[in-house]
Amino acid sequence: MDSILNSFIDGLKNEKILYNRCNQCEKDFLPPAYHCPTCGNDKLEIKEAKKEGTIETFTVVHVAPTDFIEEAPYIVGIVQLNNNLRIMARIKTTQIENIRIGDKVKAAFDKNKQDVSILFFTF
Amino acid sequence: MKRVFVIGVGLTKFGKHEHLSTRDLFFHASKKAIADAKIDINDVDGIYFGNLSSDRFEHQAHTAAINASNFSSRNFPSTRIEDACASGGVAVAQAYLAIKSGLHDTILVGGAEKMTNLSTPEVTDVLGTCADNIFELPHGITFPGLYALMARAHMHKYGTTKEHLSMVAVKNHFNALKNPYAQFHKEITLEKAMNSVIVSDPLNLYDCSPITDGGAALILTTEEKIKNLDVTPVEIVGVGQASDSISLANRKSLTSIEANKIASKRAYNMAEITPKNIDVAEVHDCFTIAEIITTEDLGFFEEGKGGKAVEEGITSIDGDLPINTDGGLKAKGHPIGATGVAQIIELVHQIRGTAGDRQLNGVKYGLAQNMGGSGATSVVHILKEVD
Repeated sequence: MDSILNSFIDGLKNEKILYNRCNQCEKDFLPPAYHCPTCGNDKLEIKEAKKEGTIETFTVVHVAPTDFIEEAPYIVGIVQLNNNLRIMARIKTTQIENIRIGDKVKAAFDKNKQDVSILFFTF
Repeated sequence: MKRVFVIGVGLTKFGKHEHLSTRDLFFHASKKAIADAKIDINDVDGIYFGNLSSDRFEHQAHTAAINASNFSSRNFPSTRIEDACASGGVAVAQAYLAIKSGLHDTILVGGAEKMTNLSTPEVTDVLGTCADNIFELPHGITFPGLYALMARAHMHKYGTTKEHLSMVAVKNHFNALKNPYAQFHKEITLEKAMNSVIVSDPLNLYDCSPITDGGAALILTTEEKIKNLDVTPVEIVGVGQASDSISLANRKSLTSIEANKIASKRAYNMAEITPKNIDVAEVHDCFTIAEIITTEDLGFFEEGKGGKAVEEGITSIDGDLPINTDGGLKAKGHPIGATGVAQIIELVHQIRGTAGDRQLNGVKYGLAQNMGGSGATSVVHILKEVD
């Protein structure tokens, strides 16, 4: 038995955004799942997304959880990659006030304090 | 299948209870519900209890058994339900099923949460466990942050404004003035709401429900049992529940909550009514944007028109469809496990005519919507006056 999440997590270590595509209805989705959330089929492929996308929404977090207090304020966004595939990640910029929904951003990768690979987006 | 009636309600004051724990809060609410139903604890067949995280808040799990043993040595079956902030509402749905199926006759169902003993960042961490720990939490997102993401998307798509969000807070604070059980008895101005400190842009302090201690309980029973009781029963005529991806980014929409739509449709179908029949609603305004989006999801207003409805006073206590007459989560308070149960208590009061200074006229149908996480669980109950 394997965890459906391992391929995604391993992908991040190799600086890739991996997602599932359903062989039956051809929908792309994240998080990885055992069955397609649209049609229920369990024949799924692992694909790699382009490392760019569009900001669909974002927030500037001022009141942060304990692990992130020192970093606040910071931006968390939801970015559309392709075919309605969306992912949440930090958006890093020096110009917080200039960020807009619809802006194009590029994927980048970092390690957090626990040495886990983390995706973020930048301009 | 049996019909199911609420015959007793009990609530603790919502707020800070420095010397009370989860078990105390639930016991005191339950005792009131039993007295209100004019029954004895020995008439109860079992307990359902909604609670998010006594484990993290108080280092105490297995609270369902504690609740049972607080009453007597009757060895009730006692079950805790955890479905994030929908724990209370889902507990009521489970209690409903237990009676509906004929397994039990009379159930004590409620919820409680003790939260104020932790600091705000610590509470933020506990609530964070309701979000996705691989796809959301590593990025430093919080619950105000998740709803802020929906708020900005809703504003961008429909022209909903920051004023609309703040108007929800002003309305709910106004309603709470007339609720003696509410955490806040403080009228606020639109200006004050708009200019409070930013929590997660575009949401500020007055867009967020508070950290609260509290307990709530109901007694549910059958048609046969109410014949011998001197109470005003209120019938549960519709129950609907639905789930979705807990990861916000991976839902169909960022500007509506699919689980709300499906859960409410199921409840309307069971009750054989439409949204137009609802006279009063309690909706899960954990954040002001949640009330706006939910009133659209429930079919009260068209998508994108929820903000306008608040602005026009439709959802005010003297409007055509009063929402959160008890002050909502925003001003009544949000002791997680108790919230979904307390919503139903407000509907019972409005239907039986015991809502005091906030009593509406002619309430036949009331709807309660309780939600978990950023909308991955939704549970809807419809209550009806008994003819």
